[in-house]
Amino acid sequence: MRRAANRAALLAPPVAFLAVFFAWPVVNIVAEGLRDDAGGWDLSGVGEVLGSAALRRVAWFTLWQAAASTALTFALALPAAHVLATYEFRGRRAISALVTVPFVLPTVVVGAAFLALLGPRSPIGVDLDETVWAILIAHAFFNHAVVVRTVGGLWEGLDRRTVEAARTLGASPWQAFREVTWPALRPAAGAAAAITFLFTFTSFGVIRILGGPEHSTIEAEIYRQTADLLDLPVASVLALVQLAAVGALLVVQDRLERRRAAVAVALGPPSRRRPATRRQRIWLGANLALMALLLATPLAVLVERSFRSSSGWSLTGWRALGERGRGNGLFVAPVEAIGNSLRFAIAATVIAVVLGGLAATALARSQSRLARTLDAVLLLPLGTSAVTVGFGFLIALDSPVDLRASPWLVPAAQAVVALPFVVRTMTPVLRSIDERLREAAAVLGASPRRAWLEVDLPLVRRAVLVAAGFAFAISLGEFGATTVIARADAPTVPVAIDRLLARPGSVNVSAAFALSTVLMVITAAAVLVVDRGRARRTGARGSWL
Amino acid sequence: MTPRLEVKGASVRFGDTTALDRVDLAVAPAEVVAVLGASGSGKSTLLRSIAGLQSLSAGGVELDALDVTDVEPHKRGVGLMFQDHALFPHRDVSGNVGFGLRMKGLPPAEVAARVTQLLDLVGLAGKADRSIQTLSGGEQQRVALARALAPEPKLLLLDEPLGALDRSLRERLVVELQRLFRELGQTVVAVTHDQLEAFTLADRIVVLHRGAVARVGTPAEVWDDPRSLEVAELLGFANLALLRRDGADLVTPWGTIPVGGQAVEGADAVLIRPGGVHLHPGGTQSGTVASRSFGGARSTLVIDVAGAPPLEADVPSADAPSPGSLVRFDIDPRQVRHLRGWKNRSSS
Repeated sequence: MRRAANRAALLAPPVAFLAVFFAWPVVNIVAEGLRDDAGGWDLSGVGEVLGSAALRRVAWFTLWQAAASTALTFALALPAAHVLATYEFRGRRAISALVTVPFVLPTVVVGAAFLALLGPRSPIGVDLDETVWAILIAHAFFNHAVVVRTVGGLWEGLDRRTVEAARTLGASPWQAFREVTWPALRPAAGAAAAITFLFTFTSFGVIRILGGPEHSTIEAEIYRQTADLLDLPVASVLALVQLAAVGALLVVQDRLERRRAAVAVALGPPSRRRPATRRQRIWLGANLALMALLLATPLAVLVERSFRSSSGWSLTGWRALGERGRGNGLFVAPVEAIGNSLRFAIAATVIAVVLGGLAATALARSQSRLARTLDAVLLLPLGTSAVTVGFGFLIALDSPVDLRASPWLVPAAQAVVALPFVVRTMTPVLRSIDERLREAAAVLGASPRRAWLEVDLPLVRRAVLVAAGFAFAISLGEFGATTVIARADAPTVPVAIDRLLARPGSVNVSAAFALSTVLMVITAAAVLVVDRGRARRTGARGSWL
Repeated sequence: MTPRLEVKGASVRFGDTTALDRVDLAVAPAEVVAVLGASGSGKSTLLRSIAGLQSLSAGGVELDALDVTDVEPHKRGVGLMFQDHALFPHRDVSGNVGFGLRMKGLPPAEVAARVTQLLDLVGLAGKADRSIQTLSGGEQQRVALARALAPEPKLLLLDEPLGALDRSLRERLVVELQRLFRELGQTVVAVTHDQLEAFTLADRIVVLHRGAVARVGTPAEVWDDPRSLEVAELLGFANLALLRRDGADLVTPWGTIPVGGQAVEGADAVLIRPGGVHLHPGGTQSGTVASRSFGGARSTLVIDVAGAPPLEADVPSADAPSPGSLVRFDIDPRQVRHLRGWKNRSSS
């Protein structure tokens, strides 16, 4: 009984937070869209959406581009996962860490990077702007790390003797992969596929910059319907459609995750080997080259373009960061956005880590059905249209207290988005702490409180750091909700980049790339700090972040 | 002399299953007791109960005549070495070994000095700064031992102390442990499923079966006369049969023995110890050697006797006949033991 009461006390703050800053705004805006002026239900939006060929096309495009993006991501990242998980070579640790960077980059920066690389002024002479290819490649860039982390994390732990056993039984390398390695990896691959699909299905920042008028996802369409066309009924129906689709996807993923837990995988100590044969060296070299091409080139071009103007090399883009006005679409000098972003992201990180830590502690101590349900509920923000959350804030948070002008509004929205990541990162680590370690501390004379300080806290500290790093990077890059609720005089960096790119003039474009470079450096630094913590971390292996 | 540890009628129930059934156990200061049992016999539960990690459903635990039944584990002053060690992965060797000393509030300099001393004792001198992950299995075992010994516990509990190690290392370490405990005058209760480990380590053996004490005695006593079928089987004895009498004679499937063994109350089975089968040409019984396994100085024969279960015989390797040979033998009445428990087994 006491334990149940403790759990309830731990869960109350995060649940209350999500009720106020997630459920209430979303319910409000959806209801708003589905009611007429007299307050009755008006479901004309449903018919409008279902009857519109254009919107059906959006839904269809959302679905197939997500599937295609997932397939492309796997085609590029699975070989990378193999190389990083099984080969030892110079610089492997550094490359493993750097490969994670794209995943935490703000989607707007990813969009900007690919606009620079594959846009009208492409340095490699390939103009894919406003084509599907630019979108797919950008999505593959963004989600590469999901596959490498999830699948590779398991792959490096597989007991290689199972493969050797297969080889001695007459299997070729390919047969050994198909018969032994792949079945062990499949559940992790399934989870990675579900997550990649989820992220690309709800893609907004990349689509907004690279999509053009032809290609729109449901999420981008929700923004257009609400902000540009002021058609709330259609936006509400679209938000519901997306929520339903994502809900179905989460159910599928949950199944896969549970199967993953159920499959007995033979784990051994990491046993990387230097490539021995010529063929292995070529395979390693080719994969490293491909990673450099896919992951490093866009970022390099992004930086390069920030130093370009219409007349060649120049610092005008960087100088413009400090200038107010001048038709940049902002009410402040772009450089101020950096301060805003840092302040908001730090506040959001604190909220997300404290609340997520409480939730994870409660969830880790229980295997009940209620806990599993809550686990799923806490993931909901991951699948909900961030744009919808943003607009929900604007119409719902005016009473009883008007929070809309509060400086905490943006951090609250960003914390809603970051919370699922924090819970997902911390719960498995908390669960994985061996009960016997606490017992060992107890028989050595540590009181329960002391045991928590000496055992739980040090073991979780790294997970907290990892969670905080990701929450920070996610908050820093959050675009969908922030672009709706950020005050015009206090834009964040992603919002400023979006505004700059929407304005004409090469100075604005260079300034956007310069700002993207700044954001990239900050998030990369955050994730590299996290990764150092992760390298020394013990416990849960192969979690998807 | 007051016992260091006294367990009185300790019972532990998990729902419908009884893990410990009214166990009594007294351990004198400086005595080493091994609790021997198959997996699921309740031996780990007994150990956890003594450490205070498992609360009793009934009965009590006393340390130095003080009732500690309701005392929390961290206040009992009992050391426990876990199966697979449970070393703190986030602390290095000295951090693990010094943990209990820090909990006692010793100043860092004293902790460091004592850690050095303990690492010397267990043969890990100079490895204080090593991380736990870089240690071999044997080294981890030594760290776990040093960690448990550091606070100078009144009583040291060992849970399968050498369980995961390979055979040659185990044989070496068990001798080291035995010498160490004797030198330190350490009171120890060790739990194991390995009889050789128990025999080497302990002054006294307690055999647990289904949560209850099945036999207590010195290693020699227990080995000589298991007293019950369960204990005999746990120790790996063959040649077990239902006890039948014909007047004063003992009737076994392998032949009738005049006055075999000392009568035990309630006994319903007999054991013929492998050394009790004497091969000689004038023997009264006969059979065929089915197999022979070489065990160094002595070998084990399995002899097929018409109309009876296979009979195991322990003979000098030099005299061991090859499989297929016809042999004659006698059973030495002094090597026959009476056991309880045949009835229980056939009914279960």
